[in-house]
Amino acid sequence: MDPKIVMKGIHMEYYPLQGKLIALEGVDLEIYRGEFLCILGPSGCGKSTLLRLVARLLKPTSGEINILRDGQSPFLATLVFQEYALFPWRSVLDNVAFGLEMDGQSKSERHEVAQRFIEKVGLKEFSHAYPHQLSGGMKQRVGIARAFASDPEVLLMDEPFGALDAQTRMILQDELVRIWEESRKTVIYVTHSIDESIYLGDRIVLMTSRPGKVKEVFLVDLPRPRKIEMKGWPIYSELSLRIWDSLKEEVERSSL
Amino acid sequence: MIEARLKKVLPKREFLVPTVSTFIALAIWEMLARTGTIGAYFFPPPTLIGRSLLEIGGKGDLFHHTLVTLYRLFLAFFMAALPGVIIGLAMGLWWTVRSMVDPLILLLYPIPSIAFLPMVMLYFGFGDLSLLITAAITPFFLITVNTMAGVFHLEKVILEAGQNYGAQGWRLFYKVIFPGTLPYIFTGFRLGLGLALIVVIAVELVAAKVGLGSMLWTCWQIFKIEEMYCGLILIGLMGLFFTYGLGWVGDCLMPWQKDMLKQKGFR
Repeated sequence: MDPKIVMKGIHMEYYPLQGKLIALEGVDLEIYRGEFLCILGPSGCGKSTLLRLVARLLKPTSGEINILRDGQSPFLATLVFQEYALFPWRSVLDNVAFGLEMDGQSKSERHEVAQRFIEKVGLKEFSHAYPHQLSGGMKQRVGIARAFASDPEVLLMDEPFGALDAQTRMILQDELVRIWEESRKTVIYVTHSIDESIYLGDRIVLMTSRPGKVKEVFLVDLPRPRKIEMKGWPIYSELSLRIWDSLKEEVERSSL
Repeated sequence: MIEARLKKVLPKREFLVPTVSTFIALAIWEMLARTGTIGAYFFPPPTLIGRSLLEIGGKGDLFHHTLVTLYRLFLAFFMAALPGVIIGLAMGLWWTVRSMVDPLILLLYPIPSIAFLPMVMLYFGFGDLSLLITAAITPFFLITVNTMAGVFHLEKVILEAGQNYGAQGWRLFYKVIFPGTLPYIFTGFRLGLGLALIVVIAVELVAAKVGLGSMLWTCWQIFKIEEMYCGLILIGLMGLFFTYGLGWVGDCLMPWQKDMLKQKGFR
């Protein structure tokens, strides 16, 4: 397995109003090329921080993150946000095309690419709508289209379906995997749902409570494409239990 | 069926309600003045004011006064808006600018604009420039503070999204920060424009030879009560017209804002 992202000794400290807060303490992790990696952990364990470090929105206090390039994409890693983070003053089309616009592509070029990805997420009729006119599920479809349209080396997802209802979430999980399977880009997917991490991931990285580090790595030995029936398979429930046993300790520790 | 047909014939509720309420208020006034409940000499009935508005409106004097006030209003507003937006953005973005300018604003903001007139006149003389500067001061503070608040209210994830999708420095500013701040800037504009009108009239009352404010004063001195009311009405209409106008411009520039208010249940 050849690595795509290599993290070595990631430390991350914050200085809130008083004192010091260690968010991450020595994270070592290799993420393989074309892998769908889920990061699971109790809330406040620094999983979102880790994602923002990979996205270069934050700089680690020490340690390094290397993303090995395959192509010439101007985007190393694009994010899908839990809060959607769409630009309210831009239409769906211009939201999806934002990255390409920043890259200096002409209007016709970027709109063509954006339109293609908007169709992939099933929003063809809504390309001229504004974000406030869309439902939560539709907004996140736009978020996903925006991330894929920029053609990044790596895709980062920060609990993308966390704010959606359970039914919409299941539909969008399948859609995400369907789009991802066309390109097989390396994905880091942060979630707090065990079920979601097994259903989507190739591997699951379990993090400790704060200060966060890698506690355990689980391999999801399920074939692709994933099917809803697999949730009834013995390996699925066994894995789910094993993960919960390990995660429970951390949740208890962080909620004390 | 009938309701649907009525809806087509009658003007929209948004126009109907304020129009009807205005007419009711005017009718009550008319009645009170005609029956002598209030002195018709000091409070002439609206019909009389309307007639005199038509009479003097034709003579051109009123038109001239109105035009001068309009021009002062626009210039004062512009003199407040441009630096207000620039300094407000700078204060929102940079801590150093904020900590330098904030105490100054807090110190000067509570002083009524008109109170600056004598001081401004020391530097800029008795001309129009002094009036304009005086009228621009408080609107400038309002626009500055609102713009700064707009920068503070930008969502962090929106900024992160901008950066993550390749907007940096200047481009992050004009593709993300500025459009994100626009709703607050417009709130500042609306407040600022209303206040600019108030102060323009005030400085005209004290220190101008033309303009609706000075006309009011002259009318009072020579006891032309009906014409005085004409001036008041024109000032009121001006405020109404520009506040609505600016709101309309805002709705065109920021369609998402208007719809968001509707979704929250405001009309």
